[in-house]
Amino acid sequence: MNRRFRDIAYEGVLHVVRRPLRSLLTALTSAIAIAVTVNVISLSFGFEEDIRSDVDLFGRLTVDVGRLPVLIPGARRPSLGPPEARLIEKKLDGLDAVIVPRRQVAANARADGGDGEQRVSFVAAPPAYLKTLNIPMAAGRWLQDDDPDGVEGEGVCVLDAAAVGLLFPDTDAESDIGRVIEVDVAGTKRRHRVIGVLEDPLRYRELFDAFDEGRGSRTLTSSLLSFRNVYVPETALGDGQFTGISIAMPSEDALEEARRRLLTVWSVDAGDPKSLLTGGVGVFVRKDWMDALAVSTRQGTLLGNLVWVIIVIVAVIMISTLNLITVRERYDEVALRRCEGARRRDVALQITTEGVLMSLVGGLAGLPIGYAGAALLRHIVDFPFRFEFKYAAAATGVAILLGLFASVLPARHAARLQPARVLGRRLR
Amino acid sequence: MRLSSALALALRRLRKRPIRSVLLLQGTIWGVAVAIFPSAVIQGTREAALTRGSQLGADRIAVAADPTSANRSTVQRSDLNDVRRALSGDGFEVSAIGGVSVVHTVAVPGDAATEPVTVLKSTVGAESARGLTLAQGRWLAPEDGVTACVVEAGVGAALGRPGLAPGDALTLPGWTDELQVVGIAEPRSARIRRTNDLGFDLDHAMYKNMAQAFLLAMGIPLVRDDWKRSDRCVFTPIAGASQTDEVDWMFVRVGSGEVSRAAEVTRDTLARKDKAVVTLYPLVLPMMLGEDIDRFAALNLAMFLACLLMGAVVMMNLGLLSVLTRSREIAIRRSEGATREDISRQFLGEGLLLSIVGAGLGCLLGIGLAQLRVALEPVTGFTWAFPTREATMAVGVALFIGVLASLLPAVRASRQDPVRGLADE
Repeated sequence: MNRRFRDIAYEGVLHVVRRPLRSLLTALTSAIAIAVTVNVISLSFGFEEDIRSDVDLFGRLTVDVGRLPVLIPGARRPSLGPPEARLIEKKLDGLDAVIVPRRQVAANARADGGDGEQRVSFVAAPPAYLKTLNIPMAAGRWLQDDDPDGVEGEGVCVLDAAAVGLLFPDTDAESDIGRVIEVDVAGTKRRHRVIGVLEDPLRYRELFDAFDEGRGSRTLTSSLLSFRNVYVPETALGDGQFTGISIAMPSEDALEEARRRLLTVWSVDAGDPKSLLTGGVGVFVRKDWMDALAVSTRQGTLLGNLVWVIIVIVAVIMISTLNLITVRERYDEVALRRCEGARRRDVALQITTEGVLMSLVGGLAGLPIGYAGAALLRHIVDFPFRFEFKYAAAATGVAILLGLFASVLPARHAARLQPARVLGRRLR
Repeated sequence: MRLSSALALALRRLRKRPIRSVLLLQGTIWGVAVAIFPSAVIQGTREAALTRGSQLGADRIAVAADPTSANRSTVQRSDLNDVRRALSGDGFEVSAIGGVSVVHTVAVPGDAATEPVTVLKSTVGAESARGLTLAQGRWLAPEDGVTACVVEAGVGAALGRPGLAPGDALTLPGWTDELQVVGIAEPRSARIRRTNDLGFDLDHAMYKNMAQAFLLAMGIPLVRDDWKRSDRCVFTPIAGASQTDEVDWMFVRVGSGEVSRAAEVTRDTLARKDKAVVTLYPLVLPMMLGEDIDRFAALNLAMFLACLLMGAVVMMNLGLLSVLTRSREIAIRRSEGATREDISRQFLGEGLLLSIVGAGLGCLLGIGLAQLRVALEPVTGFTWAFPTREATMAVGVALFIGVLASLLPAVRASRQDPVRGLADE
């Protein structure tokens, strides 16, 4: 840093300190803008990051083959059973694919002896099913080969954490191991003992549920990823047609190869709405879906960002106005400095330094205000604000930019001042 | 000096420096706009859903077999009774319930590109369960034979029989029986004829570009059901009284805003009979009618206060500055006989006036934003209304904060020593 700049910066600081009230007010404007910035950043970026990490638990490298979610009443019902599973096995030979068929029905379940009936997905899946997800066990163990299926006598089951929350609302996962649930499957009551609980991959389940008006319009297959499932041994729902076949792939490359080979059998890639309308069986790559979901989340938070952009622009204009008027008031000072030998750009630099300094101070003051506001809002609306150092750093950056932008006009104005004119008018 | 002359003086000053005035007003404008805009949309949409719910389809649930289940489910006539009983048992008021199957289509002569005329086998009550209103004649009744029919408004024109009336005979190409028209439905609005069971406007750019993909990602199925929007359906009775007769679609109408809960009861009832179904109903309108949306008013309130505070800070700041730059004016007015109170009243008047103008502009901006929001929304039934209560409160708070912000400059100005103010120059 050269001497000149240091002098100018010092001069700027001096000016800021000499007029505490004005500086305080300017800084306050910037503080409010930064408080809003912190809120919006922690809301939108935090939310999107959380969604991304959540959906990664759903099994990024899993491909699903299933009947397409298209309602064409009277359409022929495509077959998806053991022959199709064997076909997949043959097609994906050599790719290290784990092929896991499942049968699934919607069922009403209740805790043994309890009365609150809850709607769950009843999923009959082989032990390998866990490989199609990245979700860890919260307690107990996963299904094994010789577990009783509950068709006759008592069977076993593994529950998602959300299903546990519905069925045993008052206890934690650990103590629910060994308890029994009663499930109404196709008109017959079955008893299943809980041997394990999967963690809930949906961090914002409460928030989602509050606004998830579409849950009733979801198909059976896609409700699997709502994770209110009761997993039971694969023989629990007979040996007929499958609801879907999930295929876990070892790597991204293998996944793409599997997609290519599967699309030679079933030509519909379930990512494209237009091709879906044909009906039949389709190939659904979870990775595509997760990315689409992340994009949608981003689009959803766009509105929040828009409001923020408006607030920041308003703040820039406001601070700019303030600075401009301050400069007007300091014509004499600027003219004198020019006479003393200061160059135009020295004057501009001084004004800019002051502007940045004030909005930086204000911004730093705004950080705690913003976080306090976010915490309050989180308390009221239960919205997922995230507090992280990098967001604070980003907000500070915004504060500096705010000061810079707000100083452009005033600095130009001051630099263009004709010292002779100002002083001449003064002496008249 | 009275307040009115203080305001007149203030107005003159504001008009002299229009750009500065608008800059000054920004905070108030944005604040009031931000406070008004979401309430305008929520209130307007709520009113629309409650008063015009049946026209908008906000009270209708469509039920069909789940296309993804392992075993094929069917919806049968007996299911209609079970669902009606379960819903009534849970306290829902079922205003209509009915089932239809698409059995035949007739291409419109000379116009193959448009929707065909669709013949539906329907249960009694299906027409009103579809949300139709009667224009002439009567609905289908239990004693009607298979040749009776009720037609939608567009059928006559599509078949080249514009004057079709109850009592007329109707022959359809490819359909063996000669039909007897017993009733004709009112035409539906163009907007509703673009709207699907989920309440989305299918022609809206935001639906095609964003909403459709999102709904699909959320696991909501696509539907091939252009007949629902054709206004060219012919309802004929299902022959006989067999309760195992299948229908493609079941339609249930309950109170607006109750559809999502009623749909849950419907699904549970059918799940107990080992039937996998999907229920389609307007997704957004029930959410607007629900209480969860109100929690987000807090978010809005925070934004409103942030804008107003920022505006107040700028107003106070500029006020203080103008006290300095106008010290000469103040001194002259004092020497002309104005009291301290007069001076402070003048500054307060300026603050008040600024706030009034700002709040007014803010209201306009808020309505503009609401209109923009409604235009961007692919949901039919989204509209805005002027939220009198919220607007009054926002304007009140804005005026209060505005006056508060000019209090300090006013006090400063009144304390200024006129002798020094004049000597300065």
